[in-house]
Amino acid sequence: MSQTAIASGRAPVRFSPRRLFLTQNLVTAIIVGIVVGAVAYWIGAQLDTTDNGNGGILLGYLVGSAGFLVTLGFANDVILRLRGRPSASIVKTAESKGWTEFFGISLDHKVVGIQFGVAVVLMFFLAGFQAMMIRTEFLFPNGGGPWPAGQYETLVGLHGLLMMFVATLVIIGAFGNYFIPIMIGAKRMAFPRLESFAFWLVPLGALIMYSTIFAGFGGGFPTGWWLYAPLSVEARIGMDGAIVGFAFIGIAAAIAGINLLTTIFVMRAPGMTWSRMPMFAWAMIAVEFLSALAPPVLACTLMLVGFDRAVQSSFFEAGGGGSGLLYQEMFWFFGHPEVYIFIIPAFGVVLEILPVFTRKPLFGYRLAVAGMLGVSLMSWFVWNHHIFTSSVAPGLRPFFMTATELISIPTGVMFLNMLGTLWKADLRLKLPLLFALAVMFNFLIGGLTGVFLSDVPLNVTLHDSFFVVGHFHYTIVGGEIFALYAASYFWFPKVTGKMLNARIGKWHFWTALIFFNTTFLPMFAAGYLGQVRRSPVYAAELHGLNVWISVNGFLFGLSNLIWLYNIVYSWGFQKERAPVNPWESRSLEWQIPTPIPADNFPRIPTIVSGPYEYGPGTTRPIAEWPDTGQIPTPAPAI
Amino acid sequence: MTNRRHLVIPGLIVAVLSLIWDLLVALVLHIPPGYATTTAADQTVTSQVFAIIAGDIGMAVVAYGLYFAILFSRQGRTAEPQAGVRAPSNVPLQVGWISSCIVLVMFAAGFGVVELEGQTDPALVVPASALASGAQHHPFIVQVIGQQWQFTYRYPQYGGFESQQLRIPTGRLIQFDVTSLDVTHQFWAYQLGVKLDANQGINNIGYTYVASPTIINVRCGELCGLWHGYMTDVGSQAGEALAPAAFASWLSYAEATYGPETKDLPKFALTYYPAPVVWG
Repeated sequence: MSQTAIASGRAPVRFSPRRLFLTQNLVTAIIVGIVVGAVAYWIGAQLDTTDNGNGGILLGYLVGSAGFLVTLGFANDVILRLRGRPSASIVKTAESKGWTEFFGISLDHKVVGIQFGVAVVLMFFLAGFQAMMIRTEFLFPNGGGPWPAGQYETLVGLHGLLMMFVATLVIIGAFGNYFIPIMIGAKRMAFPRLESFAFWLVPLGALIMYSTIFAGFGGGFPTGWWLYAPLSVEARIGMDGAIVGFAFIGIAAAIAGINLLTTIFVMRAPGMTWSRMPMFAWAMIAVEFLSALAPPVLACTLMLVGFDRAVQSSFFEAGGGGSGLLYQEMFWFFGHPEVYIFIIPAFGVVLEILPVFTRKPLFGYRLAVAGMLGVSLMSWFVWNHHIFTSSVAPGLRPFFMTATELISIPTGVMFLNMLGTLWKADLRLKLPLLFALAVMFNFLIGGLTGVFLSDVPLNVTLHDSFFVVGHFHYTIVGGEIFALYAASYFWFPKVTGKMLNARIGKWHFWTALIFFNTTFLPMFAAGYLGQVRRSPVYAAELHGLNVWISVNGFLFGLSNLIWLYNIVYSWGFQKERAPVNPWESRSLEWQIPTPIPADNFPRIPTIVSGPYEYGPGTTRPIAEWPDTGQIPTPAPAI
Repeated sequence: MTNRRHLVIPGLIVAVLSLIWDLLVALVLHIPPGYATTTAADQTVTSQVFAIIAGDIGMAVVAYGLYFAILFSRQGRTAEPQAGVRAPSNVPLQVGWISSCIVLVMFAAGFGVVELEGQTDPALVVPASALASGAQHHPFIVQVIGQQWQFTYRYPQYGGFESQQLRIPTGRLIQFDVTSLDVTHQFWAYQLGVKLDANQGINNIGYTYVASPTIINVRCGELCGLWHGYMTDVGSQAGEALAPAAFASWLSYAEATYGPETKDLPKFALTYYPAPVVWG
């Protein structure tokens, strides 16, 4: 027992899973994973009925990953129970384990949130660097750039896949895991072990995917991030890493979805009615229905590709009775909900930030909730718009076209929420709000261009062109990544106790906004003029346009380095501590001290009002705190 | 200022900008793919309509958002503390917003369905002036075969010979039967406004009607392996739509040149399956 705990009369209990062996740590887990994976590869190679080695590689990846996760400690509780011993308690100690707790299993959702944040942001910069490499190729017409054809395709695939990993998990994994329990008044997540397991699948998946480039002559993969069969079935051994890595991220997203959904449904504090829940929590509900249900479809589809590759099962090979079109249908059945997994958390961030900096209630709270849930529901019925040109049944096209256009109605509700909240507000143009407004501006362009693509005749011209590249970069980068920026400036003080430097932040904001738009807006023109995506070859008359896009892309990349510099400088070198509630927010996470205690709240509060009751006449606090009396909410806006 | 002026001023700005934009789109900008075929023309007109609607909506949202953000910002004001105004959720406004969205969306969907019929129904692909001659019942059929990494074209109505250049006649309904020998490709004939995926074991059919002679640039739009980027051709070496006399001349040449090789090709079929999977 710690002295602090004895003095307080409260008994601390174990916080981390008990170690079965003294040597259960990240280093040993990596070593065991590699050794076990190599043995499994050898066994698989002996059993392989094909001459391409896929069976051994797939077995090696899967068994090696299992070895890594078991050695890290995820099977400890199962083994303890099998031996008739109690599993580890999940209540937290007061003492921090220091930096080492970020390199193992942690049952503290705040630690897992930081693990997600750091890992996914690192992946973002790696994938961003690859984007710079891709745009370098476009400085030269006719594919005369520095990357040979095979390397270029692998670059495109790695950039796309890694950015999919980032987009899936950056807000849910980092901010969702960190803040949702606190925002709803809970001490922890519903399934802390699963939460940590979901995290460790992420670096595992990314490393497995990157291992493909070291596979020698067969390295890399030629399919882009869609992994379309039958090309993915017939590609060389580098394809296996992409399949396994992507499947792991899908599983991580599904686990995160189940965990967050259960936490919000089951562990809300007393008084936290549905109408008092923060918008970010509602966004997590809307997105986690998708995240729990769609990625398993991806995992199954990729498993079938793996079977086709390893044992010639012909799910997706026409010669054996299968169909490549079947892969497209299954993939996009996952793929469209996936893109709403990207953007709904961004809506949640924006709608969470708006009231704080306008100092008035969110306009149309119920409508915003209905909008996000409506988007979530309708996203299951539109997947065919990704494959309008793929000989789907003609009678289905009007249905999917109409459904895709109808989904713009709940999506457009967000803009009414924004305009209504800005109307007669008392705006504080701080960086979180600036980035939130930038999200709405960028998503407006992305969303409107989506309507072009939803129209089948227009889709004929624009599908697989640079118009699509512009569209999804506006929605995903302009929407979700800018929301990531907004969330980082908003919640950084709560996580670290320091403010992100405002002066550097303004440089970041203006360079990001300007160069993002100058990079991606011209892509719509390039697409209309016939430039095909995923190809370094383009018409000579488009050379000037591509040079402009590349140069501005490099500048947008630089703006991200400004953001990274701000994070490192503010966290590592800035001495001034941030106020506990620098934004005077009413939300629950801002009512507790920084650093946040290990178990979030000494006692669970009782929620007595909503989080957006700003404005004159505001006297009700958001919560009553047992034993300690009320903690007053910030004074009305001044 | 009264509430009404805060709504009218940005409205006026939007009206002026929208008028400029609409005139630009309708009269000045040349929107691809152009008017070489009925399908391309439909796509061009649809682009113009959507560009006008999307542009007007986008400008309205940006103008009102920026106006509110600047007007209601406390930056630069004197230190008089001001609290935000608590505004009720305006239900008529919400209903009006959603109703307007529904109207716009249903217009876009309806417009799209009508245009879609014009792309897929042979009787609508053919211009009205050619219907009397029964053109919609007698398509000129070209089979487009995608393989790593080129497109080839077979002409089943002329003995099934195969050429590497696409040649089609003007003034006739053209039917493309697109398939693949290996992985998924995408036949994109830019000037024709035709884009059809080439899938293994599937015959993907599309139509167009070429009004006047034109060069046809052909590109593969679907990532199909190492040389996907080079599966593109421009100019007459890629494709051409020829006037009837010129097409007849080309046809004679092609039958004489490529016809004798037809006996070495697989028998014409709508799809060609790859070599059977070998087990064991």
